[in-house]
Formats: sequence, C-alpha cells, structure tokens
Amino acid sequence: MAVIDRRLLPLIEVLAESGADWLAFELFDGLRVGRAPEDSDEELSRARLAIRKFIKDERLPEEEKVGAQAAVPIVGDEQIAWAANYVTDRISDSVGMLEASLSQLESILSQGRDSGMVSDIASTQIEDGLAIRIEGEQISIHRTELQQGIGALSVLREALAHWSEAVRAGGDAS
Amino acid sequence: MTRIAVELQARGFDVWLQRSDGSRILATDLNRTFIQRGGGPSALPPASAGPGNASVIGLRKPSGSEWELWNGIQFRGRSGGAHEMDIALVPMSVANQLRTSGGMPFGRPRVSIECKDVGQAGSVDEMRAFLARLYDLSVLQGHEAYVQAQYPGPAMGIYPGSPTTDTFYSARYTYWDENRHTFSALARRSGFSSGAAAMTGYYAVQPHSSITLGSGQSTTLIQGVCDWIENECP
Repeated sequence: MAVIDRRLLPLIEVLAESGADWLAFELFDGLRVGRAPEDSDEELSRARLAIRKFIKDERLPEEEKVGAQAAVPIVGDEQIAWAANYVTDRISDSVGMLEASLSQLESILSQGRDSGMVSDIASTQIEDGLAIRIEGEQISIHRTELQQGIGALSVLREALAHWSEAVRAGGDAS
Repeated sequence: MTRIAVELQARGFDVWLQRSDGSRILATDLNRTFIQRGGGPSALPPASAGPGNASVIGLRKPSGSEWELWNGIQFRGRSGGAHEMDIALVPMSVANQLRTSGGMPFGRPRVSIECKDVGQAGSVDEMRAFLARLYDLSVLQGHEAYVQAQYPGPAMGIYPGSPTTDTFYSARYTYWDENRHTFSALARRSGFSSGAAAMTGYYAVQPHSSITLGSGQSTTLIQGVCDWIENECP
C-alpha cells in the first residue's frame, strides 16, 4: 500500500478549504488502492454479450476466468503528478457533465409536446433559460454561470501544472 | 439520466421534465428550474411537500404506457432495508401512488443503474454489493404470502400501484427470471478491477466502463438501456 507523500498536503488543504472535500477523499482512495489490474474492454464487452445471449437463449453464461494480480502503488514524484492530473480531470469532467446535462434538459424542454407556446415567452425569459439547482441549495446555475466556470478551467489547469512541476523540482510551490 | 431521456425523445417517446409535486416544467413557465438530487438519497417526497424537492423525468411510450426516470431514490427491500438506485425506471402509476403520501417503493425497478463517478477501478466487492441490493429488492411469486398483508392481490414486481393490465408487471417465479426480466447495469467512469465482470453474467448485470462525456462506451450504455425500454417494456 502506498504512503501519502507529505508534499501533497497543501493540495489537500486547498481542496478542503474550497469545499471540495469529496475530491480530497477520492485522492486518498486512489492512492490507497494504487493502480489495480482491471478487466479489459474486451472482457467487459464479452460479459455484456453473454448477458444478452443468456436472456434470449436461457443458457447459463460461460464461465469467465478470474485473474489475481496485485495493485501497483503510486509513489514519490509520480504521486504528485497523478494527484494534479486527477484534480484537473475530475473538475473538468464535472463541469463538462453539468454543461451537457443543462443542454440535454433544454433540449427535452424545447422539443417536448408541451413546448408549443415558446413564441409567447418574453425575450428576458429566454435569456434566463433553464436552470439547474442542487436540492437543498439556494443557488441555481444558469448557462451564464456555467460559461464562467468553463472559462476558469484553463486557469486551474495551468496552476496545478505549475504546482506539480515546482513540487517535483523541489521548489516553492506556494 | 438526461441522455437516456433525450435518446428516448428522439425515438418518438413523449418526454417531459417534472417537479417533485408531479407538475410538469413547461417551456412557458417563469420558473424553469430542474432540481438535481443533492446530499443523501431519500424516499419519494409527497406531492404535498411542494415542488422544491428533486425533479424527475416523465416518459410516455408511443404505446401509451407511462414511466418515470428517477435519480437517487431509495427502494425498500424484502429485508426492510433501504437501497438507493442512482437511476431507476418505474411505472408512473407507482410514482403517482407514492406521491399521495410519500415513501419508498417496495420491489425492484424495471431499470436499475448504479453509477460510480470515481477515478478508481470498481472492486469485486462493489459488484457484490450491487447484486445483494438487487436480490433484496426482488419480489417473486413465492413471496406473495408474505406481502399479502400489506399489498393484497396478485404478486407484482414492484409496489404500490403497479399496473395489472399486462403480465410484464407481474412478479416472476425465480430470481433467474427476474434478473433477466429487468435491465441492470453498473456504469463506471473508470474501469472494473480484474474479476468483477466474471460474476455479472448469471445475474444479468451489465458492466459498463469509461462512461465519460461523449465516450463510445457511454453511447453503448445509452443505446442498450433505450433498446431495452423500447423493446421490452409494454
């Protein structure tokens, strides 16, 4: 099992202070597990095909061979680079998913059979558009706020890349 | 969930966004906010609690049968335990009956998708936990005597309010039947630890990895779910 590199602690602190505790926990989980051997795409595809055949043919699926390989720990400089990439990718993916969800919800609303009165909507309403709100939260996210978030991703990516390089070079990353 | 709905809309389903009180969000409404479930999973709130809880998506097949797509709702199993389903498809009649006073459905959704939006590969135990949930949620013909006190009438796959107009909604005789009569999938942003896929076949739980925005694998999953809803549901 990997040991947490103490140089990661400032990143963990920043995540916790900015309300992204969930991401800090994911980092710890990822480092605890290391790089685990995975079922290949081909094995997963074969498993799904076996299910479809099983449903139609009513025959038991063929037995899958089970491998037993150990996970490889992520250590040292690799741990710093892995964590920086993980945070960047995870936040970028989350914002991207939110943007896709908003677009899909807008599409459902505009193409629904109840949308025939769209021409009657005031132009200010159209500009406001559909919003997504997390249950229990007060703030709704409109497309304008989302665009601001997407715009800030490049700053985050650059800052984390700089931090990662500086830490691995032994410099001051603050 | 939204991508499934968009795909079904493209296939000719009537699809709408629905507030937690059962009212539709219309393009002409002043307040067009879709509320995403946050925090922990919960039962379906009663309509009387108002529109401020998590929204759902309503579907009507060209055949006329109506369904709801839910996110993060808890279902009650035979043990009495509560099990969250990240994405679930239930008959709208079940949802409507539950909204009269709120609560958890008892039984197994017709579509159950467990979503794991984390970076680590899914462990074999993660797959075991999902199978255990599906087992506890399966209501079979053999359980009829035990559920009669609360739900009189023929044994159904899910309560309350399942339509009795089609044998599709009836409870099956064996777990083997029920596993093959529902759509179940474990969808992960990353992959599966070696060995997880080996136990999926018999239980008909489809393993889907690399479910990220725009990935080919996510298209495979969406097509698979939508094919099943289109072809297998009444």
